[in-house]
Amino acid sequence: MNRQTKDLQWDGRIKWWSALNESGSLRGDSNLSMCAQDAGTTIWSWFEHPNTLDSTKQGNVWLDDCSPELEQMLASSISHTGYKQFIQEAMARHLQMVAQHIVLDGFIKYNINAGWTRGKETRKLEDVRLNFVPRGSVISVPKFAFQVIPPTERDHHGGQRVVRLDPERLITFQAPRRWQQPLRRIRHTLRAIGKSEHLWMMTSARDEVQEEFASVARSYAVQSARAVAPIGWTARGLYRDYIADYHMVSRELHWYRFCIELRDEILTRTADVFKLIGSLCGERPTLRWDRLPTVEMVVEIERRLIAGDLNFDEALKPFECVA
Amino acid sequence: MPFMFRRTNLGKRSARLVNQLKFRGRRFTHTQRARIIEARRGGTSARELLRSALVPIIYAAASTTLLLVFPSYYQRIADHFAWLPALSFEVDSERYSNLLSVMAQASAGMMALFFAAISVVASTAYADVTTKIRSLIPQDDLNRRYLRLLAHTAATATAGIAVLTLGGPSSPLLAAYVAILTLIGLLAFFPLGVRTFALFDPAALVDHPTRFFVKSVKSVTPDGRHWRDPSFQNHANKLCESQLRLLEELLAFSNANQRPRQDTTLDITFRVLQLTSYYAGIKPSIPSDSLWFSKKAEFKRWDVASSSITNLTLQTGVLPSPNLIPDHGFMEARVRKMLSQCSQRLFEQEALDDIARLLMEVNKTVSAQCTMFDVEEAAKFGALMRQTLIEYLKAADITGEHLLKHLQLVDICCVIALAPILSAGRSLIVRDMTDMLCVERSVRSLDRSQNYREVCPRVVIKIHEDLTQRLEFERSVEGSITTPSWYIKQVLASGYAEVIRSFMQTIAMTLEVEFVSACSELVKAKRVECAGVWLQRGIEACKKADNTVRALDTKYDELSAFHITETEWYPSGADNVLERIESARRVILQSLATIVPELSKESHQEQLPDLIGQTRAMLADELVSMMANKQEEGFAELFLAYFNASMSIYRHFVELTQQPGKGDYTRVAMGINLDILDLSGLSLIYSELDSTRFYSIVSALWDTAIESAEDRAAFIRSMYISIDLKLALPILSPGATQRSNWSRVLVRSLVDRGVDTERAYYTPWSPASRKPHQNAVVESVSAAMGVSMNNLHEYFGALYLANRPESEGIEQPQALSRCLGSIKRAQARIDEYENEADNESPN
Repeated sequence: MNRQTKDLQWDGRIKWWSALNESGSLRGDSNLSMCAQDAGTTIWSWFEHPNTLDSTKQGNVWLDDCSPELEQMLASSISHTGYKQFIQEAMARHLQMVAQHIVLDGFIKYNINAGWTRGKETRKLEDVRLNFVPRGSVISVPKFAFQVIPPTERDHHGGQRVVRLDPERLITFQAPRRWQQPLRRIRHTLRAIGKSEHLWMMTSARDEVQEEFASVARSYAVQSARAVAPIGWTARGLYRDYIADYHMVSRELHWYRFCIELRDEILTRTADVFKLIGSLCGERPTLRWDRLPTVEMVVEIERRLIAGDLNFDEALKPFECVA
Repeated sequence: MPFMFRRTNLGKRSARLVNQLKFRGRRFTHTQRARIIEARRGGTSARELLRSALVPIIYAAASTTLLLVFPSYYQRIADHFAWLPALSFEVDSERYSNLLSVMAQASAGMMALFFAAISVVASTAYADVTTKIRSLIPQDDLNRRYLRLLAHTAATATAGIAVLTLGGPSSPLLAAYVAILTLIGLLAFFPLGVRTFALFDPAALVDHPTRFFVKSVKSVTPDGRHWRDPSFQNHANKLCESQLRLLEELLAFSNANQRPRQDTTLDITFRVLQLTSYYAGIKPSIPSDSLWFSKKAEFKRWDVASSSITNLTLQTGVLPSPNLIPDHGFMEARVRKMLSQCSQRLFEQEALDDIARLLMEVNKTVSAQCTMFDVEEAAKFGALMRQTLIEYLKAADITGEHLLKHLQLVDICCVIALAPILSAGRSLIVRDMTDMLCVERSVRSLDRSQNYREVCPRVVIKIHEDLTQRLEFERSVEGSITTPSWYIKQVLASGYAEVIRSFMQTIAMTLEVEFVSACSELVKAKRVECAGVWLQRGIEACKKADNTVRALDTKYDELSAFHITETEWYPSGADNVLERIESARRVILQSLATIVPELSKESHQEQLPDLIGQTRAMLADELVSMMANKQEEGFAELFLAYFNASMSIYRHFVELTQQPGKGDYTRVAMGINLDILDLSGLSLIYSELDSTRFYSIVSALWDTAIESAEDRAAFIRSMYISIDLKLALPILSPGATQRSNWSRVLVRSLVDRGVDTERAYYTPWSPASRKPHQNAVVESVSAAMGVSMNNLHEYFGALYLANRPESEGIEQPQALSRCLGSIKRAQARIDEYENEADNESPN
């Protein structure tokens, strides 16, 4: 069922405009875009198992203390497709999108928009949406939040310049604190390297200094690998010609560790959001997750790998698909 | 960060500036050297002439100044220090001037004479060769030094006269110095002049190119200063190519001249082969991707090329260009070309002694290559010599007095072919794998020169290089190397495993190509004596190959302990290779059997190797092995060959007994009969034991032999006599020892098949639990200390010869009736056991 057909009264004041050229699309350096995509896809893949899509079976993520109506509402609130979904499926997509944006921009903001029944004495919460907040449009001060509408979009929104927002309804998803600084450095470095590499490729033909292609390509690979070393991204096999297998697997494990911590951070924040939405209709739902890769698993596998007790394929298998 | 600075415009400009400065500096140095070289080669420019004379002028000026100034300074010092002796030489200026003048003229004269002598050599002996070869004559070490000495003497003397003329002092030291140099020049003129005649021989000119080759190859190993610089590697390659070209020209020049002996050609080829041996030792120190190695094209298969390349080809019609990969055997290929020229020349001249010397030198080179794991190149050398020799043997008349020399050539060629089987495997087997893989420190240090300290196969070197590169990447990226030592060992172990698998395949292929195919060619060409030697070496090769492969397989198992994780551990393939070796051995033996009739005709000369004797012994061992392994296929042919060979030798020794003083050879002939009878007896027992057809094959052959004998009774009688006289024969003769070994094989087979052979050790009061064998013949065999107590030939005599109609009326040896008695007793034991078993059964 398409949830847009409901005739509801929405209490959110947030304005939205196309952000395809901004945060809405994967933009900027191609390596950074791929890194963000990979983070999202890795986290998504842990939920997208055939067994977990069946509503009759318990998936990796579920809601406790939650009525079926609220569960449906919460699943719809985070759905990026606009269609009714099970909580597991919706959560997988939600995590993918949020993770991508966190890697690309460092954070992503949503505004909780509640839809209430219209024309009745007792207002009843019928639908909720997490509306995407265009990047850089919100100015927050303690207890106040404002959205600044850019001049190009003002005509579409009744000529408004500034919209006051409810700061409690403004949700920010961020990477865990220990990953924020490395991610910031990665974004900066990858963009700089990408620009330089692009320039080299475009000008190498007319450059007077003839450089050896393989050695320059290797230098760029070394620099980009060094830049993403904190999160362990393997650049979709870009370093395969230069990297030792053990190092590759070690980096993959590092990457999974980063994704796990990012996933848990997003899930924790989403659980808070669900509690907030639940409070609007008098419930206290609890988001729970299980049977997913954990940091402890990574640590254990790393230990066994250093000891030489584990096959490389076996080391990575637990993170490829969770039964 | 430095990298980003380097990628900026300023960084690029700086790099460009530094590169240009470097380039201009190097170009300046290079042009200076080139000019000097050009002047040496006859450049006419006055400036270049001066430049080329600059260094000698400096030497002359320095020595003159030193020797002129030193006396006056010394005098001043001596005035200050009373204990120093004073110099009180007084030289008359006129005499001093005359002396220096005479010495300058003498030196210049000797120089002119010596040049004239060298020019005579160059213009007569080397009139038809290139200038490069002619320029080697003055490049001779001794000549060059002598000419430089004379030039220096003349220049110093002239400088002394000039100083005197300009009012300078005279120096007794300078006069003495010039006089000594002139005397050396005069005295050395005669021996050097005589030595000039040696330059008529092109072999005397080989020193310079070989020395330059060694110098250039050393510069691309870790001992060289710029060994990793591609420009220097490329330069070294060019130098090496030019030196090889010089050697080729020298060899062609020596081949072109009709000389009574081939010493010059041989000397040059020997030097080239010695150079190849040296190169084999230093080659593992050269990086795999070094530009020292010439490039060769590698064409990618269409189906595995990248789609962008194939699309481009389809759209433009331009074929994809091949990849250029290092040719690690470029030098050896050139050497093989020279070797081929030399060997063809020697074979044309039928210089058999020289060919033997050449083959022995090739063997040294091939062994050196195999020891350094370069089996592939070594095998190519072996193949070249084998092909050349076989072609020659096919066409040559090898009968008569030269037969032995031809057989020696074949033997040496076989030894060359054996090298890949022996040396390559041994190099790996004797090395301790744990030590070989404990290179963690050197790998972690990322010092590339450490990769080449140990001699390793090229595959391992490549893996080492790749691993170092990947660890370098890890350190650049992560700041440290976290890769554990087990992974490093595993990667190296996988390299060694690949080498062992490859060696095993090479061993099997060497056997098939160098021995089986080569032998069959000779057999087809009816060169039976040569084929005989080759086949016998082939059997040796099979045994050595079998041992080497088993030892390599053990090594392979040791390596598997280092394989911790990652890919699956491939099987060594030893089983398959051992089967191929066994198959090759069978083919060789069958070939040997086919040439026995021809060998029997002419192989009894004392001057030649006893081919038929060795063949017979090998066939016998193989027949016993076939019976023990129940392998019936091919048995009939081998036994027939063995029988014919034995009869041929028997007849030879019987004929010898007719000569005065050689009557004792009768016992040798009897021994041969016993060999055949023993083998026939073995076939009988094995057939009873395993229900095989060996005895029927053997008895059919005996039937034919007896029926075709002129005097059948005499034939039987001679066999009976052999049985009767067995105790009179030498107990440590080759035949007796071999028969004893057969007996051991039989006992081992009986034990393996569960037959109780230690009946003789049972006491009468032992429990009667021993189950006799169902067959009386088998049951009758008893053993002690692993040897059969029964004589095998007695079984054949009792059960076959005695039953022949021709034996009627001939007195049988007593041993036959004893043997029959033991069989009867065995039957009685079987019956008794069965009766007891029947009585003990419940029914």
